[in-house]
Amino acid sequence: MSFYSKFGRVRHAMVVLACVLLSLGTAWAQSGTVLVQGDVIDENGEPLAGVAVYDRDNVKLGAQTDVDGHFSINIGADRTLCFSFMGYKVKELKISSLKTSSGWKAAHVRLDVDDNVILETVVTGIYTRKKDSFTGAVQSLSGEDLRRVGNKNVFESLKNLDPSLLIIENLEQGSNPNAMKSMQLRGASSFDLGSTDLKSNFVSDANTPLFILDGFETSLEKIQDMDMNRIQSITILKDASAKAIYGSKGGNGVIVIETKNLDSGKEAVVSYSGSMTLEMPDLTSYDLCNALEKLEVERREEYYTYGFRTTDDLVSNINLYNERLRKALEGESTYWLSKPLRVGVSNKHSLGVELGTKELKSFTTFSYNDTEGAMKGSSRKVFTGDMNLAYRKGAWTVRNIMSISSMKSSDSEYGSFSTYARLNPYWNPYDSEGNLVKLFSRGSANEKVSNPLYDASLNVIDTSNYLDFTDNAYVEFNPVKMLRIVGRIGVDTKKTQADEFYPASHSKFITSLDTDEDAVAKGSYEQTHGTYTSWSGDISAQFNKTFGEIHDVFATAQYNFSETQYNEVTHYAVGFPSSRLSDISFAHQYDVNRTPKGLSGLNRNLGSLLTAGYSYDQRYMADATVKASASSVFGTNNKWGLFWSAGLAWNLHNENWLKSSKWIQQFKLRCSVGSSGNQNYTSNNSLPVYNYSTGSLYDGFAGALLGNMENPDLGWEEKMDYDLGLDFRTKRLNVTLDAYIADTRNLVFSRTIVPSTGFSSVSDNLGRVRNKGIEAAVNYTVYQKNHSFVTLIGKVAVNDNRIMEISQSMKDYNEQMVKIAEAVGSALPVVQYYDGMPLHSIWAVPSVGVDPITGDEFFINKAGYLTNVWSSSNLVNCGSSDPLVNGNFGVTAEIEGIGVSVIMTAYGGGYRYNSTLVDLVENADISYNVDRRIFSDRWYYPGQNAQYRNGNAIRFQATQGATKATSRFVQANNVMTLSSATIYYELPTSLLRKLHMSRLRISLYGNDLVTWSSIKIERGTSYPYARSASLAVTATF
Amino acid sequence: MKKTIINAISAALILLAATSCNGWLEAVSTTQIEGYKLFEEKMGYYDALTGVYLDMGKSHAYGQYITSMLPDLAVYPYITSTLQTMSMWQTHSYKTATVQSTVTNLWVTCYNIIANINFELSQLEQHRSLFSEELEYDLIRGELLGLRAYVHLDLMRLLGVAHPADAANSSKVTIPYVTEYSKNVTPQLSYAETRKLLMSDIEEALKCLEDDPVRGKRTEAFQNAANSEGYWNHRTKHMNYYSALALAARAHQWFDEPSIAAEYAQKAAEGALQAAAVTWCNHDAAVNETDRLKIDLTFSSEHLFSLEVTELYSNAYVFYVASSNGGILLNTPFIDEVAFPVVDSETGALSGREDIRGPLVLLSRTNVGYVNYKLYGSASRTVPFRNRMPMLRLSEMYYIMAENHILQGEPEKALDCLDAVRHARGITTDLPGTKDAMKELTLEYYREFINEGQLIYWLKHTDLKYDMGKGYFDLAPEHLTFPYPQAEIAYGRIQEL
Repeated sequence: MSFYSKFGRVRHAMVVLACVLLSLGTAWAQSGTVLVQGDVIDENGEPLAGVAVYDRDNVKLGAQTDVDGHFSINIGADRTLCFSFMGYKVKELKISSLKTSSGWKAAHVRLDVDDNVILETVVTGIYTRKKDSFTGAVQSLSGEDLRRVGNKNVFESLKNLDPSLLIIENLEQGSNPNAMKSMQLRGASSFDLGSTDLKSNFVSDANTPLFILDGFETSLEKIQDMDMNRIQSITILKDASAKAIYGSKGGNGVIVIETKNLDSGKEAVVSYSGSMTLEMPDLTSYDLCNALEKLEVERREEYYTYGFRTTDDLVSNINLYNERLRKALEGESTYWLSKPLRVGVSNKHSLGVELGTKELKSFTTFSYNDTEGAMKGSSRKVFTGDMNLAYRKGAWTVRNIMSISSMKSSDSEYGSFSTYARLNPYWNPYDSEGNLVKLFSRGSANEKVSNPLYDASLNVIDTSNYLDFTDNAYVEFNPVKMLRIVGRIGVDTKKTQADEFYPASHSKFITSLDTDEDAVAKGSYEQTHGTYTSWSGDISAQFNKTFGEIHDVFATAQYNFSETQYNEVTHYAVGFPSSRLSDISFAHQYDVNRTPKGLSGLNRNLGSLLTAGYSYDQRYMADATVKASASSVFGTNNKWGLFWSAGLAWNLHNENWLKSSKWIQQFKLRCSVGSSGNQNYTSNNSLPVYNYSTGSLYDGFAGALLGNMENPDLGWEEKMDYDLGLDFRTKRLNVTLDAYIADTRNLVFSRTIVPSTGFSSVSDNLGRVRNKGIEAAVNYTVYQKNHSFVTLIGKVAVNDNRIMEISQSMKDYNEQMVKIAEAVGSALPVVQYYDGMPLHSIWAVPSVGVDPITGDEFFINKAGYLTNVWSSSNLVNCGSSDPLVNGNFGVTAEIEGIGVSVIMTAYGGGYRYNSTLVDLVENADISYNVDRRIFSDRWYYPGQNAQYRNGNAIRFQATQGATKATSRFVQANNVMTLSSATIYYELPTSLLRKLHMSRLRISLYGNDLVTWSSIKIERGTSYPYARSASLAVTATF
Repeated sequence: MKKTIINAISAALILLAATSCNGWLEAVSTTQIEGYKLFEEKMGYYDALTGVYLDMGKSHAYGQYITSMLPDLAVYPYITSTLQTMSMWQTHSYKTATVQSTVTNLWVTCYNIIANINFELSQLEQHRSLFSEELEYDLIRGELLGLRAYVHLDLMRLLGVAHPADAANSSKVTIPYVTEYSKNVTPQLSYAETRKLLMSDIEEALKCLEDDPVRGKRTEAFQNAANSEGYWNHRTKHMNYYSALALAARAHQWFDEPSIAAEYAQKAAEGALQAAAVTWCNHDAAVNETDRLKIDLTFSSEHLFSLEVTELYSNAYVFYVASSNGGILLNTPFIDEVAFPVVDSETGALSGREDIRGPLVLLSRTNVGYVNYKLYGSASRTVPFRNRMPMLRLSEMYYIMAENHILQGEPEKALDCLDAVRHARGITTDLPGTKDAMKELTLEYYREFINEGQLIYWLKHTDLKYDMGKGYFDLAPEHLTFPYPQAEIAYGRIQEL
């Protein structure tokens, strides 16, 4: 609001100044004033319009740059001129330092982006407000911030910048470029009851925040695939005051992304940025046996000698062992882990052309991103074209952003990485002729294990691709300064396809009996087609006026609608004799056992919003929001949900008693309370839905069957947020503190109902989950002079998560979980939901360790006694798998154009069940390769103090059976990663002029370089983790 | 004050938004159909009714569990299976987890059928105007009501007491009689109150089915408007007028009202035969057919109502015929000495050899037992009697009449009724008056209803007084009542026995 008024005042001052100048004529000029003329450009060398140019010691004496960045001002020759523009650092210029030519002085000024100042505004996706007068808790980041800590994708950078957004480590998928990130803001609040349905591209995780790109809702995948160079700013809306405007969708937090605006007035700017990245596999978490060690483990467990009936069998087994041992002693040992891996070389190119006149501006970018993963054949290629047009005429502005992107991803033909970790090192993938072996004999039995390298040599296909088209149009009308009317409409449509092909010779089609019928059906092809379309639009009126200099009033009213529809069908075909016939049309037939599988959803929303703010003298601020949302996913009795927020803030730095303080620039207290909702679940749960049974007919007619129990009362999941915050800034120190409580009520999940209703469950609202936490962010600039600075950064987020109320309805679920824990062959802990416990608790039986005499494990039962019998009735909560503390710390510095940024990320206070110890040590299948700790730390002889129980493989299996969920393997999960290290060099202007460039920057990035972990567990089981190093160039012409 | 302001603002906001069509928000995806939308068109009722029959035909309900499998395993002298899912029922180990999980599936599926019926009924009554032809509306409604009674009656017979009308029993609570599609718990009512609901559903069904085309009256208007696609052609595949009468007979028999039952039974049998809705099976054709798989072993022409079950043929193969998974076999001595003795020891007649229910259906597997071919028919899709599960058959009506005659002290008339059926089975010699009518009637139940799940109710109804399998297979009264599922008991249900 004061943005406009400020320049209003400046313009007013100019008129006054002109009058004064006219009346006094040249008399003033002679008394020590001088005419200064020149231009102001931005960091890209483009002219900046509207820059305030004024006398440092007499602010009222000032001018403003025009559209071409030109200005002219008369000023005392001994004065200092200041150049100030929102989002840029204030630049001072001593008049005396300027040369005089033909009676006036020329000044060419370049303003630098001020990362602190650009964030002085809060972009909510619906309106923009000055941060100083905003009461909500937000984190604003500039595109530069993101690009400084990484160049992979938005989320890889964000995890280095805001610890309150927890990007969940995916131990299974590691650094798979095709795996989508999963994340939660300020803790998890939704139950994940393991939806058993097929997972679709279009269905997102229940805790995922809402993503808003240029004002329109978008998907996580789109943000992950987007070209980071396009990003102007990212705003994370955390508390009620900030996110209530998104009503029923904002509950999980909102991430607002704005792409670059069209600000410059220069006629043509071309910018390019490119990078090359190396993805280097990181196998430090693996510790497997080599051939000799593995054979020793097998010998100890009497793998070749135990339990054989006939002497012939025994002799042949011992011969097999001796033969393997001979080869191992000769040094033959296959390091399987490296077989499917490579150093991935990725390329990124982005070219932007910006053309503009005063009225019409365009910005076109093309980007190509080819990411190669660390596994051979795994890649993700994204090609994007964007066009941003803006036309301004009088009070009207029209803007259109169009974007087309095409993605093609391939998963490695080498299959899952876990296969390689399990292969015995004494197996050789090649025979003596150097040909790939198709099968290995497993152990002593006649069982065969396929050689994944052989399968990979076939033409296996596992790809998916999409074509996405987005068009967002904006019309803005400014009839008077205080009123802005904005209409927006956006469409996003996406076509997806996924293909999975295995030729007949693939080992998965090896069967014991081979009839002719089976033979023609070998080889399979699975093809999935999907479409996604979403429409959304809104109209809003924004009012902003200052009354009597001190009363600032701000109000926005908005009405919006949206519709999202998706559809996905999978077809299965079989019979592909040759691996060259890799198209579904070559199929012999459809798979007789599988019908096409489909998934679809339709979700419509309406909403209206009223938000208003008031600020008194920039000291006391209050704002309030009311949002009404309706969605088709909710019951007929509960279509409309009402969300609200209220916030207060106090700018102590604008109080008279602090205003005089030279060192405090900002000291603000704020608090807010309010509600928002969450609707990240499948549609149609409130209404009765019929499914047609097309598979079977009755008397020749198709029938429709009722698919669910309706719940007309199904309502919104509601989140109440309470936030208390503090912003404090001096010239060097910047501190933000927040404390919050977020209660999620009426969680939506399947509640069991009495079966005589005809259904065993219904979607209902139940329960309450509380997240409370503290967030702190501190920046301290140790050194600053001209362009050089050194800043230390530390950010920490503490979150505690508890179930407050779960009522009886979880009883059945918990009982079911206990049954799963009891089941033969289940060794992993289960999740149960009880009041007062964390949502993601790990349930296991408390253990005191391994008895050195027998090698058995001893437990503590409910009565407190020792027992060597595992029983599900002794299960207790052994801790939460969510980290309590998540933080980043690091340093950024720039000296003489050379910049350095080093960021460490760390989390701790949570627990993890060490599944490696269970699967690869205690319950290890000895016929495959195992963790080295089975060799070194497992109980083997009476009296041994061993960490791990006696073997259950073959010989020892009688005593206790397989290891089940035990507290012994619930380990503290504290991890620290050197997640980002960057060095860049910005070429000096003098050099750039010679090159006819306005900017050139060369950067070297390193990501996820080192990880320290308190728990020794295999990380990246299906896909390995990778360290990445990248060289990037950014140039502007 | 603040609340008033918030309320005022919110009212204004909602009003602003809600002025646009609220119906726009009632949307579901394309692979599904929203229930209320389905019933805005006439065809929706047809599709949902077909859906009810498909639901009934699921193997957890009438496709297998409640017909050919569980009640039969509990009472027929089969050789004990090696599979737990079967042997638990044969050994009457009703407290085991296996039985619990099976009975839960049975219960949920049966009530799912009822939920489908209830939702369609509630919609039907609200959209009467959609049906230009009154009969169309009546037929759909009549079928639905009849089916609702049918399923409830079976659950009550299987999980309830033997004589619900006895003074000691009538005030006990029985299975919930659900008439509403809702997530709320329907209270359990007493047998007396439940009887009222059951009988009124049947009476109402009979009223609706009064002009059923099965009775031979088809107006041209009906044929053009309602039957243009032939939906109402095969009436015995649907709950029809005669099967509703038969159901009434069955229900009254269960409530120990033999004379009323016999009245309905007579109406059903005579009416259906007269209207040629059913005909006695052609036993000569059956005997002369050389290919066993081409014989109509369920005698489908006698079905007053039978369910078309898609998987019946293949399930029966796996369950009874295939020897590989321990296929379930009938005890040889029981078949040879009790059910189908070659020579009747009293009359010397070769009735056991003649009876087409014996040698045609049951094939001896030497030294092991009898393989049951009843439901395993032709693999050819064109055979009309393939995959038909009998739900109400003509012979049962004669048995109900026979029971009434016995109770009225007219055993000869009862034996005549049995002979009527026996003739159709190829037995030429009539039963002599010296025979114990009740014993003969029970034996008929054993012979006629293999794989149809009806014998258990007869044994329960007669308090096991005529247990013909005695000596081959031990039965106690408590074996004839299945347990309630735990999931239902958790909501405070009681199984009062």
